[in-house]
Amino acid sequence: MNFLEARDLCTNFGRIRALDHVSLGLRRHEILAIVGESGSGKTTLLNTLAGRLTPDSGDVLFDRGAGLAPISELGELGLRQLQRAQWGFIQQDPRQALRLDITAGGNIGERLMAAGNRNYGDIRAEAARWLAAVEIDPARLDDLPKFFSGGMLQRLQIAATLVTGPELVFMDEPTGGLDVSVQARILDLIRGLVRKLGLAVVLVTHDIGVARLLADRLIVMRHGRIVETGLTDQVLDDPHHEYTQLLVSSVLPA
Amino acid sequence: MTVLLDASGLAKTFLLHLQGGARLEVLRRTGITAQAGACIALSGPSGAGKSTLLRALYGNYLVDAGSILIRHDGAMVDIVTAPPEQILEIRRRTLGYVSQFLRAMPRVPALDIVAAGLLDRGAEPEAAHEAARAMLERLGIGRRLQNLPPATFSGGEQQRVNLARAFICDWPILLLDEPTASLDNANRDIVIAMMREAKAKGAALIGIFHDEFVRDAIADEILQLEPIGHDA
Amino acid sequence: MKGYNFAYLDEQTKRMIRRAVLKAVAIPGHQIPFASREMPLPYGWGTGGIQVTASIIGPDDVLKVIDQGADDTTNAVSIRGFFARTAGVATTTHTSEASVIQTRHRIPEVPLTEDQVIVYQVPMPEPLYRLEPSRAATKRRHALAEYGEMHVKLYEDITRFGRVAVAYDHPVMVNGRYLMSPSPIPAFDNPKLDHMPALQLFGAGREKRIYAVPPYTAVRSLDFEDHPFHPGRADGVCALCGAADTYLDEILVSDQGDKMFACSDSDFCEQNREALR
Repeated sequence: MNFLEARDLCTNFGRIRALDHVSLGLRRHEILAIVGESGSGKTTLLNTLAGRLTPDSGDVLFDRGAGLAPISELGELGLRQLQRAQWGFIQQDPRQALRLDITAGGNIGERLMAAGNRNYGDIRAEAARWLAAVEIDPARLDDLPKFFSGGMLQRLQIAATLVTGPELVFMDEPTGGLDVSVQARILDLIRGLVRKLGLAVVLVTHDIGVARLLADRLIVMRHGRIVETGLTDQVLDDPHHEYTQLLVSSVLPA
Repeated sequence: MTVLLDASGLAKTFLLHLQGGARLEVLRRTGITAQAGACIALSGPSGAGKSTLLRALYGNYLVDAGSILIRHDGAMVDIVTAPPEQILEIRRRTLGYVSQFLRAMPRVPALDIVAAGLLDRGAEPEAAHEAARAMLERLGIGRRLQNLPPATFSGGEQQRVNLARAFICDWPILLLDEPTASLDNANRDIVIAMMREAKAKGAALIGIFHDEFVRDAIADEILQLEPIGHDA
Repeated sequence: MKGYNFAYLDEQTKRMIRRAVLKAVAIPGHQIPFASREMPLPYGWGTGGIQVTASIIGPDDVLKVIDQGADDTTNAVSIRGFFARTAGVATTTHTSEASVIQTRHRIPEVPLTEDQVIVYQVPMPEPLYRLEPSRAATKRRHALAEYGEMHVKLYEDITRFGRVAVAYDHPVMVNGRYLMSPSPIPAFDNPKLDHMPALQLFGAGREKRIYAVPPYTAVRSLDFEDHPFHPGRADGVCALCGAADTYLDEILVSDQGDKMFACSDSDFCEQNREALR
């Protein structure tokens, strides 16, 4: 049973078909990766699924407990509540998602406060717990992220996003732009947290290795269309579509 | 004897777009039936389709025709038509695969790699780690290496971690692709013993064994495959 | 006064402002835009408060005007005089005798009644403006009741200073729905807003906003359960009347830095002194 579905999404930016009749489904606890090159539409798809973009036609549906329903019918308030509590979104650049002049604890606590938590002590304890979970020293609770490295900022964003216990997390190139050694650590962290918390994830990446490591299923996009989909290892080891074969063969061996 | 895996009518042709659309037919009307407690060795020259068949049985390669029935939770499931989540479930508990090389994840210690399968099946972390230690010890991976990520290990050490990872769980069906290729004789013999133990527990084994010694020691049946050839 | 309408503003303008006031009363704490007029004093001197007072005042009203609690500062005197001349209304310095009280930066110590209206002068009506400079963005925040940022600010204050550091204009939640700036009254006065029997109107002339808190409305100062709102007060006693529970002004009395405390509410202090005689 799907708990997130896209039905026949179409979006054009001028003459560019960013989404060309895209449909997909996601089950609870499933990790789905969307790979493709720049201009494939993968980021547009992610943003549309997450309710940040409205498609020109087609629907995104989500099951909040009473069956699949279009998110367009939630109204802005309902959608924002969904985005703040049951959903999470991890951006490629953590600086866009965090407040750099608010302490690490304040950043993590914000979602808790927005959800109505009014106990300073509890918020602080929860924030410290999450710093530890993302391998940041909890003693840095009152430090400003201004002074954090790129990897630490991304881990802080992960903590600040997962603190409200979302069931579905969207990730846009979560390790893009980070040093390779830092990437490995963050990927391992994501892998562990996702498994432990039983999250459903839709992950956009141009890095096939990231998809192989994290995802159960894979979607390959090109020019706004899904050209291939299946189990991650199957699509990468036995690619059928010409573009997928090109993508897989283009990866430089280490 | 119970049939645990029954594949028939399998056909697979690779369409190589990047080679100008060349077609490579590897499997044609291939079938295999595996029974509990028995081991089938896939045999044949290079290009005959041994690896392709093995991977197809795991759902790692898609077949163009045929069915692959697997006994899962008492019922026969055709993984050719099964939905992805069911295939993943079958791979979690029923169908194991031992690859030729370890795909090492950065930062994860050997101990955790080996314990993962038991943890996935709901074992207590203490017990899972104890069992992982014992398994690694048996394969000659000592304490020091157990706590390190295998990325820096030798090929043989990595493969032993890979084997420990597979054999720590009980698999009704186990697929093995050259499991002893990078091992010395002593470790090879340990793996043969492990395969015998698995058979004794009722597992069905299907494997590619280049080493004749291993094949003779473990296989109950040999399935001979022949290359079909190019359609240039 | 020749050439001017009653209370200076023309009747159409008063109607426009009253409409805004009605909307404001209907949605407690929500800011209503209004077409602020040119007044004979510059922005920042109470033009918003004056326009609200001018729109609601009638010939039978009695007006009191205070500035930082005192009836006798320049501004209070000027504004009181302005209405005396343009509306011919009776004026008073005694809180309990007034039907309309216009104030800058304080609420009188004497509890107000259902027969009274208090009009606050507001420099910046938007409680979020320091956190979010864009007005369009703050409008969205209010519409969606997204006030997390403000709580984050309070969290940061406690983290940095051990307590909420807002001494005045401490933001409040009105009717459990809208975040509101109570105008730059000291935190000490915040509790008076809650379930006040009088109608409270707020006018910001430069920013062109009116908002209101109807009588007996819940007004809660933002805080944390374990760091509750604390109405601050100088630890002192009024040197003139001996009151120990009023808001105090700190007054330097010598070049050597000697100081004394006196009630900020000049009328209240005077009544106390009279009672003591």
